[in-house]
Amino acid sequence: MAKVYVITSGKGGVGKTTLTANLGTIMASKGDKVALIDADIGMKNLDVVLGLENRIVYTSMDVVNGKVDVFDALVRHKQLKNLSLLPASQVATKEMISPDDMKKIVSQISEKFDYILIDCPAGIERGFRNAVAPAEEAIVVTTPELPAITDADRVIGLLENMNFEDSKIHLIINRFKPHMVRHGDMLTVDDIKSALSIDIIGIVPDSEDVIVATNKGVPLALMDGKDKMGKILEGIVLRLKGEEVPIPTLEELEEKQSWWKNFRNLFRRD
Amino acid sequence: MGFFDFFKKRKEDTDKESARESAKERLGTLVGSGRRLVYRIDEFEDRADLERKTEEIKKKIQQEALELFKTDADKIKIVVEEHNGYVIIITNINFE
Repeated sequence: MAKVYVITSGKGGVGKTTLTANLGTIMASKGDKVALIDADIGMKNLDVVLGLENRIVYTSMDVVNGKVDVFDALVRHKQLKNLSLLPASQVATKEMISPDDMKKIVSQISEKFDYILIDCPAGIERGFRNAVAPAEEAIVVTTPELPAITDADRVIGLLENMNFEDSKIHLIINRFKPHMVRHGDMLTVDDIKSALSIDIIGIVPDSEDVIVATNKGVPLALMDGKDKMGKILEGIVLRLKGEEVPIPTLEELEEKQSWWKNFRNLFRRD
Repeated sequence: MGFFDFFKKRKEDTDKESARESAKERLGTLVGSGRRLVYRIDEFEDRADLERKTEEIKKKIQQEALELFKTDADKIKIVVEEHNGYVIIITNINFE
């Protein structure tokens, strides 16, 4: 039986989809059988981040309408054969699928996978409820800004209300900028942790590589020369599996710039 | 000019230093008093009565939709959900 996680946030644009793709990729590259479910019906993007947008034939909507079997709708990743995606429809709306439909889909594929990651849409309405319904544990993603943190707080409250224990809710701080923290321009990890009263499972530094990876349709975890980011994401996966891996310190997260880059920055006009 | 710019830059840096403190203080005001409680309707309603009324509402909506759109009953899907203390009734009619 697969372990089912929902990746949620409340606020949009904090990196849920990118993290879902990358955590799934890391799990699959280590040999686990992984299914990713795009629950963002009408605004789907997970296929684009994974570079699978041209391989979609059926979507979860076709499964719900009884048109096809769920296994016919699953799309296998090009490089990682043990990574599959259940795509969402772009023309349907979130109201066309119910939490019970999602539970049914997950129960049908659960035995064939080790992990199922559900990419939740932004907001706390139907799409959120659909995505959360079949999940055992939740990964709440926030960025270090007030609107994202307050929305994360609201989502954690809703998850608790839906009977998720605190130990089943994990926090990822995404797009963290260590140099801003060092200069006192940004909230620290402890500030966010004490405000949300939830355990942090990972801190992901801001990186331009994410944009490059998304544009290429290759998850960051599969790109060459991205060892540092790969290790950070791998640490999150290991912590999710219950291993005790220390969270990188501020210094470890900070990207060391070459002397040439530093020299060039002296002459930048912005 | 360059001499004064040096002090201007120093002043900007001092202002910047308060960004974290300001955010921390505002965050404390926004989320500091614990999670916002959400009451569910089944916490203060008679569950059996709620279910009976829910089925009644669903039947009435289905009847209206059947007459209005002249479609089959199995093409009308009605779900009644509770969202943070509010009752949401979602009706899907499949015209395919």
